[in-house]
Amino acid sequence: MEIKKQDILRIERLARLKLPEQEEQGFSQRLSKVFDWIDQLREVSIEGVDPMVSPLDTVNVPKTTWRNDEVSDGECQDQILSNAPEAQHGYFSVPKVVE
Amino acid sequence: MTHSFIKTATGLWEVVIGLEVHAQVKSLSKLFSGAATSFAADPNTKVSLVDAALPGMLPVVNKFCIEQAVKTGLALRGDIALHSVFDRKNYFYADLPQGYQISQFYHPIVRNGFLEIDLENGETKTIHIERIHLEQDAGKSIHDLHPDKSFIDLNRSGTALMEIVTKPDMRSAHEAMDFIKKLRLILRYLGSCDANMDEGSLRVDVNISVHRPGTPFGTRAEIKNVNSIRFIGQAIDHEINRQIALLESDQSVDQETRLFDASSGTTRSMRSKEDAQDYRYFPDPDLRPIVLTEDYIQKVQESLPELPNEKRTRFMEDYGLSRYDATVLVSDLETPLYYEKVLKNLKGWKDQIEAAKLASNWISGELFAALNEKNLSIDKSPIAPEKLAQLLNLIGEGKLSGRLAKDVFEIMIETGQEPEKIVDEKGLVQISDTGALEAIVDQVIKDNPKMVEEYKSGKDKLFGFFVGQTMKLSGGKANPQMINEILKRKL
Amino acid sequence: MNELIQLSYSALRQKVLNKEVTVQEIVKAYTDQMQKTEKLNAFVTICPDQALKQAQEADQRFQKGEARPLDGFPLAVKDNFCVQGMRTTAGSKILENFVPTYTSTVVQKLVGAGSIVVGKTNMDEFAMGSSTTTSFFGPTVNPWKSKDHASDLIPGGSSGGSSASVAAHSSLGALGSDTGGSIRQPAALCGVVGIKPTYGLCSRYGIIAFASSLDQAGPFARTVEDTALLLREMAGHDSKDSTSLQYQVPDYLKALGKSIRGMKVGIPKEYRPDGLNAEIAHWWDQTILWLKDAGAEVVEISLPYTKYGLPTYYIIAPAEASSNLARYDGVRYGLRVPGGTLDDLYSYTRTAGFGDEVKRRILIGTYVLSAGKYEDYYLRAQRVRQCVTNDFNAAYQKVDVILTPTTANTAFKIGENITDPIAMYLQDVFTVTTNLAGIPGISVPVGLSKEGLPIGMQVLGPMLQEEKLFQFAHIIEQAARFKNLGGHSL
Ligand SMILES: [Mg+2]
Ligand SMILES: [Zn+2]
Repeated sequence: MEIKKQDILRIERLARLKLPEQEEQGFSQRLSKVFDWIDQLREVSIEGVDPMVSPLDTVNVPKTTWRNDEVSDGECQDQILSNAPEAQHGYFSVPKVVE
Repeated sequence: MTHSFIKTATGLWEVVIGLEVHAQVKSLSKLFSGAATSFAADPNTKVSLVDAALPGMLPVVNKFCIEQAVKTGLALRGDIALHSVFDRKNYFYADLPQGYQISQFYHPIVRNGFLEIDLENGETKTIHIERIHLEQDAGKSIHDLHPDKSFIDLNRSGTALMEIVTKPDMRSAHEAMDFIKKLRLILRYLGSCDANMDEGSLRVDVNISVHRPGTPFGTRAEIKNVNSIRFIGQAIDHEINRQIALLESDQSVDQETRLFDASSGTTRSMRSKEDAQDYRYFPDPDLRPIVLTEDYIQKVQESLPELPNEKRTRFMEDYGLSRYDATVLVSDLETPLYYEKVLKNLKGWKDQIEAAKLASNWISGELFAALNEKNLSIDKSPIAPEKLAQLLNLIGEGKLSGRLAKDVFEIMIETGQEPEKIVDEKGLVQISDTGALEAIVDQVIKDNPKMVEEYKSGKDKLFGFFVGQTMKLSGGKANPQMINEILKRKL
Repeated sequence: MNELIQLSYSALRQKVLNKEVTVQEIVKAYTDQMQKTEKLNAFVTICPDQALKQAQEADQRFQKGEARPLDGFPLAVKDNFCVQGMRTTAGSKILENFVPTYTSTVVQKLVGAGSIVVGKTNMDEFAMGSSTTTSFFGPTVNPWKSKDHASDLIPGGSSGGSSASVAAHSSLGALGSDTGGSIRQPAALCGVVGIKPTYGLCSRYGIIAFASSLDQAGPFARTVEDTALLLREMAGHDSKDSTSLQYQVPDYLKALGKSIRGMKVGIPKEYRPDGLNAEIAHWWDQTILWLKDAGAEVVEISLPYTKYGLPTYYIIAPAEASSNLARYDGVRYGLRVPGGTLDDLYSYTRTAGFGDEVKRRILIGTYVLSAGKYEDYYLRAQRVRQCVTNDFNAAYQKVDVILTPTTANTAFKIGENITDPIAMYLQDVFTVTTNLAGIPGISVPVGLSKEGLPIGMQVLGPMLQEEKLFQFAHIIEQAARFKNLGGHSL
């Protein structure tokens, strides 16, 4: 399975990060190799096998964990903002977003 | 099916509209956290660590929100999934703290509902609902507090939404508007959503395209930010014109997201052209599937309140109301309650149907007009339902004429007084004394000899004139039925 | 050498109860050892002053006869567990200055039981790795040296800081997290005990996520007993984690010393590939003999989907990670690299904040979830995951536990870079299937290679059968009489 440079650029954009310029080419080769190896999964017969999302699919526990509708949290603006790189007037602030 | 085509110089066009409605669940706390839901609060105060997506935070689903989605699904006659799943919808956005929205993509909680709307020609039409799913709301970006910064408030982040997606079944602005009116009413009856468009608890995205009849659907545009029913109409009309103009000048419609601008009544393309979206949905491994039992669904079904259509049918059957009158009465939450309280307090009527109709007329006529003028909702009416019933009872007993009753009503709406008290104080009691009435009639006949002659020579229409004169002379207090009798006898 | 750092918790506790020593003296001994072994770079953050203050409080409780089950237990915590007021980095530049205002449930429980956090340990960035060399804070060095002492060795990973600190006696026990082997593999390479519990046994609340359906917290210690003690106190249901099991946690200590006579041990033939390291194979056979001597019946079993475990893992883990790590965007916390637009800010921040291995895995994960690839990769991997799990379920119809080596090799040299990504991923070959299935696994040191490096064996069991794991691990421990590194020999 060949992963092309343009695939790398596309997923970099989706993931909002860049590999070092010189690595992009190397990475596409490296990734192609990884996917060649991953492609051995194609030999597995998965007909009729349900996808497994979580190990809990196989244990006998109540499937739905839910809480009652009660206000038990919030009112902690200082905590919410305590690690903010930039906050003003109780808001997080970021460069102007145009819609 | 009825067709509403648009005719232009080049021929006919058909409009296709589908709606995506985000209805905020009326819960105390958020879908996955214990922070309060709120319409207005200081920024970032109704926010838990979960809503702000701090590292290591995990979602735990709110039972009540699931129940509201089930309720809504049942009310819209959908199929409730016994097994539904929360998926992550991955994208980067300023108000999306996790970098993904928890939503339901592959296995929504409700599928295949429908809702009937009323067409302008009096017929009804079924609008199909493709799905309802639960998802979290995003936060809010504030762009106008700083020249080159946007500010982010996460108070709304994580609030539960039901996304109700219709099939592209609507063919006009009227149909889309009526769908939203009907849906809004049902949500309010259910109590699953406040459905206030101006507060954003009901938000509508309109998908719209045009095509020539008999040809495939056109490319659709999605219009966001349409926050009133009137604006939905405006946005659709504008978009129809825009799309037809493009196509008629051999241009094409872009598949894009557009914003409705209320100040100009137009739509515009969103400035930030987003890249081709690839949301990479996958089941959220932090959450378990929502597993419901038939038993649970049955219990929710049994807890459903009487819905607007059922109530309308009952009003028509039990109270002999016309479809139109019944529709008016059920079109909000409080009016039918008020109406039935009035009915409960009606006394001494021989003809129950007549009484029920009279009550309906008084509510949708005088009462609505008066409340409208005072800008009051019916639950704040200065005239309590019991008092309106007393007023109607006075009519039934023959103590008040309709005209006098209106005078009493005017005083009641200002003072909130009991009708009998007003009648006593102002001496408004109807004159039903035969002797007194005969004297008045005699006077009228005496005063209008010419008219009497004309009437006797066959001008039957003049009878009304004599009734009016008699009424006038009595100061409006004469019993109209008795006047009729006496006049007929004497003329 | 201070004798105090050689003792197990029960021995230390007895000494404190006998008033031979105070908790403050114990904690001092450990913080001294942290300083002496500083060059191992096992810790990202240390907190000796706070630890001593807590030691005072523990001493007071001992004096009042109100000692808690773990009072005075010097504990190292992997740096992906949030601890209120204590910098928590996950080994990443992007969280270099992140100070949580909250504490993860498992740390809360352990601290509530009296244990004393002495510091936060180094790890592969966001737990992605098997060597603790991808940390922004530099590699951790394995306290064990090969006989020639030629070069520094990796401690394994990603919980390498935790395993190294326990091996170096700079903590009595430590917390780690295991997504594909990140507790068991470093435990084996550092000659200590480490358990990955059943998925859902310990709360994930407050632990910086790598891959949510695979991540599980667990303890390290130098003895099976101390490991069992820590797990007993940290396990249990948490209403803040929807994947936390509703389960009554047993007293694991009661499993220690119980006979395994008549119990069945499965030996999966797929774990003995042709190229298996001969010394590892030797110690595997030796361990089988010990178990037979103790009366267990040894059965060959087959886990045919084993070979598909790794490629499956390398789809599922990056996919979940690509989504879990989307929150590190420079807006609410962590590193921010300014940009003209918000989009630039995201890209600059994430490009500067994540190391190369993390970036690679995010990209792999993004790719396998992207349009047109989802069914072919992610969905297929989920189905194969079910097959791998079915393998184990079938095996546990026949056997009580499964015994395998923990790793395919002993610790390699730092800087001995494996450039072939697949060879690097093979480090996890014996451990990942456990995480895919969600079953528990414990690694116990059994002996040394000719080079003098520790080798560990792994006991796997069915869901929630941790008692059996401790029972077997204890038998192996007794038989192996593995000598921990003396605190003095470093
Ligand atoms: Mg939508
Ligand atoms: Zn939506």
